[in-house]
Amino acid sequence: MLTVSNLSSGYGKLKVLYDLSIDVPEKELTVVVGPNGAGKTTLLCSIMNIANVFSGEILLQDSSIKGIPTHNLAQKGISYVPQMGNVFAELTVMDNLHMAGYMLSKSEAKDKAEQMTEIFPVLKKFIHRLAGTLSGGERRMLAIAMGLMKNPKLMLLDELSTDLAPIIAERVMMEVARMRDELGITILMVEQMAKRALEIGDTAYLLVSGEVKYSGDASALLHEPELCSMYLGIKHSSDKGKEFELSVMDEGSEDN
Amino acid sequence: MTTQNGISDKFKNILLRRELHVGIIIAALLAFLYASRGINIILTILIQVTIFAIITMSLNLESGYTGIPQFGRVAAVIAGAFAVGGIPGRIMASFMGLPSGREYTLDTVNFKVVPEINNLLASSWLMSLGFLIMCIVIAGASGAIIGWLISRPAIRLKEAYLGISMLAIGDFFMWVGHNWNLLVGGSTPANVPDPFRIFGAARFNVIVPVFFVIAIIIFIYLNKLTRSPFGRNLRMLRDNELSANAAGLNIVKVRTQSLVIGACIAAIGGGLYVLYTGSVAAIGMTRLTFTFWPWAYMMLGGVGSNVGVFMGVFLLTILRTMIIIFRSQWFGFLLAVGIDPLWLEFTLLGAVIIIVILFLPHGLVPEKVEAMLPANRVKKVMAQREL
Repeated sequence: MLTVSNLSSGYGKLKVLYDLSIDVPEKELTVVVGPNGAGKTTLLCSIMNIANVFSGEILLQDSSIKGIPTHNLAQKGISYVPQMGNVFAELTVMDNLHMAGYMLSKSEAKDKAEQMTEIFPVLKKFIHRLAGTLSGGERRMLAIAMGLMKNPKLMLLDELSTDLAPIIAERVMMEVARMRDELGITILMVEQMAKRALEIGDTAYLLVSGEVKYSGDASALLHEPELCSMYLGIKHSSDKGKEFELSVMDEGSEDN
Repeated sequence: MTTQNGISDKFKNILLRRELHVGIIIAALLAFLYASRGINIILTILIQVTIFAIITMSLNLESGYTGIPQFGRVAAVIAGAFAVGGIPGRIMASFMGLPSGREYTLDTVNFKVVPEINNLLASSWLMSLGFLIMCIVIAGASGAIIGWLISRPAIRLKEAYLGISMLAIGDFFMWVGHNWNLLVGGSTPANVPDPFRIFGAARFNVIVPVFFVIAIIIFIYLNKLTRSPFGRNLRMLRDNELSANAAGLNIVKVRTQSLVIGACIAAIGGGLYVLYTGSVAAIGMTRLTFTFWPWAYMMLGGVGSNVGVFMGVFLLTILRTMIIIFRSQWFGFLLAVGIDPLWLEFTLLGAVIIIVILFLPHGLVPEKVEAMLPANRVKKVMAQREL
């Protein structure tokens, strides 16, 4: 579906990603994990043409999308859910959904919005409230629903679990897995809740300082104790055999 | 019994509305001014209110709804004022075979040509009306052109940088007008032909309702616009640019549209202003009058609320006028402590901005949640919610 090859990008003159190649297969959940400052968000920004791309190629279904303005990329079927501020706080939930369906026709948008309230029943309850009055988890559901509004070929999710309570983050993760399983949507997800993301993901990339340190099967990365403890804060505990636990190590401390 | 309760609840709701309270204060102040100074001061206030309401509503579209830091409102006002000062008079002069080129704005020529045009306009009300409409169209068109030109370099800037650029552009226009005689006479103000001359002494009494109707039309237009899907796009842009862009919105285009519409309306305000004063003094088109006062009006009234803006302009214009009239009478004692009451008007501007920020951050009439959906659909959704 999406192929990024030899990508170098950054902001202004600052280079963040170095010669990076990833591949997002169709109808699969591809997970990008890594410590803070690795360039995970920059990768999504480069795809969306928000960051500066210096060299390399970005292909969506074998046609180049490099240099296409952001709003046109949305029309090409890429749906990007930013990390922060992904809903319009001063509009109602209904308006948010309609706004996300900006490129659809009126009746299409209406149908799609009703479909969304069926997929996410929590939104139906609050359909007329301002998005700013929703709780963190509900907002994230709304953000995902907004991403789904425009029948995306590909969804780019940027750290959906940011500042959510663990139990709510877990629920959001389950929704993402459900989207792949039931709706068959291709997803590229950047996540710092690495363990859970790797459990539900199909393919995984470990990004460190703008370079790919690991690529391959997602759950297999969980069995690489060295990478896990060094970059993801997941400690391998020998007593429990194959079980792992999440430690609260500072992720960024090793990476400088 | 229940219906009675329902009625009294409704009545109570109306009594509690901020609009009503502000309206009562405005009416009381107007009554006081009428009692002490007569009708002329009321007419002057009403004209000021209509002109500044138009300018402030255009500012509200750009800053209140779209979130652009428009500190160069004066630029578009100047565009309208200069266009009305320089173009319609020349058109009339060329039809009448009078000097209409470079020499039209020369003070020695201008003061002979304009009265002749006025005489012609005064001879037929149809011609007066046509001239007024021509002025408004020319003002709006030149405002839109200037708005578009300003949006070109400004569109890629953000926040403070955009605000500073706008501020500079506004002043730039004033100084060009002051130094380039060809436009509106430079340092010697050019006279503007008067479409209201036909009414003679009653000129004032006619200007008020005419300007009021224009302001109301613009008010209705902007209210419709901000409630349309386009208005939703503007709020989306104000809320979050990145998300708006990711949703497929061309933010450069929407921002340009907002700037062009806003500049067009502000220029109409500027055009009406010079039609009212009868001459264009470039040096009088300052950022204080046409950028900072409108900002104060908007902040007091309520950012993002057209009704609020109208109320803010009304209340603050009355206060301004009262200070100008009564400053030496009421505040003369301040001289004893070394404060000249002459500056109280500007003190009011600063005080209003500080008080609003501290105690009324959303203004007198705050922005409301406005439903974009038709009323019957809203009812349907609400009914679903209750189930």
